[in-house]
Amino acid sequence: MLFDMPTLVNYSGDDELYPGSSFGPMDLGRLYTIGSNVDVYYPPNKRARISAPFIFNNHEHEKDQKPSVDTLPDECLFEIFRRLPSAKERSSCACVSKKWLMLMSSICKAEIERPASSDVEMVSSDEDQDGYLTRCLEGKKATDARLAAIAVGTSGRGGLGKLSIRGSNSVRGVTNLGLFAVAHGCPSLRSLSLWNVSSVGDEGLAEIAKGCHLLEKLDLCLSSSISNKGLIAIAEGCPNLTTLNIESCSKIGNEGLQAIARCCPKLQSISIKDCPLVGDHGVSSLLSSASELSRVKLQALNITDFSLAVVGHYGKAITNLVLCGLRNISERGFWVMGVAQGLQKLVSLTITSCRGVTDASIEALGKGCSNLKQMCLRKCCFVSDSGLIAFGKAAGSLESLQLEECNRVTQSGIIGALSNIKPKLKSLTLVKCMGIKDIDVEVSMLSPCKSLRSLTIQNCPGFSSASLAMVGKLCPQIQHVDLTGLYGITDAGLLPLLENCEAGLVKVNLTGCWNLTDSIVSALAKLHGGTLELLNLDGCWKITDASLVAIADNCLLLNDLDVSKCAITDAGVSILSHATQLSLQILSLSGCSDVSNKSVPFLKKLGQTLLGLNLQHCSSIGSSTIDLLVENLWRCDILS
Amino acid sequence: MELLCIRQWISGLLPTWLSAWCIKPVGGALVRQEPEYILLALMGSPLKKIMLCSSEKEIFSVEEQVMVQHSVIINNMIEDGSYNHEESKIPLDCVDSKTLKKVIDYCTHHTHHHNDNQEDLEAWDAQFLNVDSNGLYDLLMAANYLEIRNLLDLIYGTIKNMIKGKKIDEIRRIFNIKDHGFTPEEEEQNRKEYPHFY
Repeated sequence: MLFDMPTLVNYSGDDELYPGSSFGPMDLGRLYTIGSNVDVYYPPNKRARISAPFIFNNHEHEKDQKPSVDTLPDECLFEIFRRLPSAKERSSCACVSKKWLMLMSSICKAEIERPASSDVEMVSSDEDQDGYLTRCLEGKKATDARLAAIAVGTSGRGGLGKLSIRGSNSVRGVTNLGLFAVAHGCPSLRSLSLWNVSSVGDEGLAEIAKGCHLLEKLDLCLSSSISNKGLIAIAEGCPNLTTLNIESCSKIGNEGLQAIARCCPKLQSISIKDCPLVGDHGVSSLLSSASELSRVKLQALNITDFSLAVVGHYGKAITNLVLCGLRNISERGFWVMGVAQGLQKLVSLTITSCRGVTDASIEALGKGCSNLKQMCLRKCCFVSDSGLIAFGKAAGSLESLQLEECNRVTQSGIIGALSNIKPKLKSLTLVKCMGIKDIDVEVSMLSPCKSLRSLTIQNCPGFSSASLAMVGKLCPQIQHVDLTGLYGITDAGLLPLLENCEAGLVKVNLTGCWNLTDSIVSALAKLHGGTLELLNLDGCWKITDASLVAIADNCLLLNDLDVSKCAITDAGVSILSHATQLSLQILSLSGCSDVSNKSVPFLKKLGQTLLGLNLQHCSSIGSSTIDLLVENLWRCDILS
Repeated sequence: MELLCIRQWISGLLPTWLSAWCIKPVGGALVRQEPEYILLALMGSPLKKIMLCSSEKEIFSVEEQVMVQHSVIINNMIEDGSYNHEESKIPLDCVDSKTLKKVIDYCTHHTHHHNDNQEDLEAWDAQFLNVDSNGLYDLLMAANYLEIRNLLDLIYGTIKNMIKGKKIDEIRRIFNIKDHGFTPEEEEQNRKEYPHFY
């Protein structure tokens, strides 16, 4: 008779080994090994009649493959996992081994056995699967195993609602298998974002479409393996889709968009960028069927005038429209878009680098979009003064006008437009408009623009002090001024604006205006100290401690001060810190080489209210000082 | 003898479990078979038995009804007539003698005692499954092969209880998982995220 050795396994949950009463008459000898990491080795308990050579063979065989529960076939493991009562148990098993993890993640929600009534308290925690958890995987950590772990782990703790994957591990990256796990384990997924995950293909998306019917937002960027099939699957499986972003997906084309148009009536926002296969068919079917579509962005696509005509006719719900880099669209396209009179709800229009935007088309747009509030034209080099003035006459509701690199526009165009848009215009922004040069305009001929609150003129080298003085006289209600990069501005140019401003300046950005001196800052502080909240003097190297004195004396509400690269010294910091009414939150002394370690006590005092402190490139402040500050000002984010 | 008397005599002869024979599914419908026909069939052999042959070529004789009730595979074999009572035996090459004996034990007990109360049956089952992990594994494989549903459920339930509530290192030890297959980073990530499992 053969004997058996007792095993480690006992069902009552104890840790210790015991020979147990597991063997009745069969055990003739008992051998046990002591220790927790035991691999019990025992000869097989069969073959009483076997002759010696066979036993010898068997021993060898034993060393290679011990039949253990680890060699259970997958379907048996699957059955065991199916019966685990709570998500906690399932998460635990998912951490045991990679094989268990992948098996666990392939179990659909529907296949999990409902536990018996004795496990009631665990059931209730599994029921609420609202999908409010968010997970983001990036780069090296983006692997299939991690996705499977997320799928298993989130299911018991509220369900995964939002998943974004950015990039993929180069060795063992995210593939369709990972998406299968997510599809099976996360039925409440609402938002999926795949950026630069080229190893995921149509099958992965199809599984998601099958498993996650609540999907509302899909974001695909640089997904070169996903084609129309995947998009069609999503369209058919996820009728609740509201937001779709597709960028640089070389295989997605018109059929995919047509499927979305057919199957997703709730679509509200669409953004398509740089997809060479997308053309008029796809875009027009999408625009004509989606009745709730309110945000549209079309960039770098091979669409023609026809698509814009469709936008103009069918875009009854569109509120935000962005058109960039549409090289095949001519003047007629934009003109039709305006003339069609369909864009009645359009509130914000942004057009970048479209050669079809000319004077005629922009006038048509102004007439056709009667509720337009924000207009932004970038790099539309064919727009000139007359177009802008005509547009200004037509767009009666405009509140914000932004022109960037529209180099044909000159001063007179802007003033003409302003005088026509006056009633509601709150914000004017001019960036890098090289056409703006000084002209002689009689100030008295123009009436003041009372509605303008925000004026931004950046990097327009032709905009001089004289122009600024004139603008200052015309706009008494300005609260935000941004004159970044206008190095030609002098004190004399800025002073009229400060003096005429009745409302009280709140935000003043004078980055790069290096001709300004202390006197203008003092004037600013004295005139607007009661309202000034943000002051940026980055790069104004003529500013000295005297400005800080004026600020300390006069400014009550200032919480953001930037004096980078100014001629500030320790004395100035000291003065600032002694200003009792000031509670600065953000201070930048970057590049101030005269601020040294002596400022530490002052900085500590300021640090009582500071949330952000920038000490980059302060050559006189040592790294040990910075460490000391970091330790002391634990609430403050210190950049060095 | 009157037919009625024969019936009474027969029903006195038949052990209680055989009365189950009187109702037999034929072609999807339940057809009552008259006891006298059964007796005639029985008179051929005392209790219809089938032969099961283990991988070690050991023959086990077991009542046909016992195995048919529990094992779907054997039931199918007998129903579609591929098994001839007189001559053939059913070869079960992947089940060894010891396991086969235990399986037969299980099926027989459950057939004979199916009227017992739940607690007694459960106690017997617990005792039945008090084997080492190898034996459990063999039983599982056999039950899987023979498709014995209730034995499978029982074993799965037992293994599930083995896992329940254990720490991961424990589970790995029990199931003899030497290489968990995670990279060091993944393992560390798991330990960080679920420290209470380890």
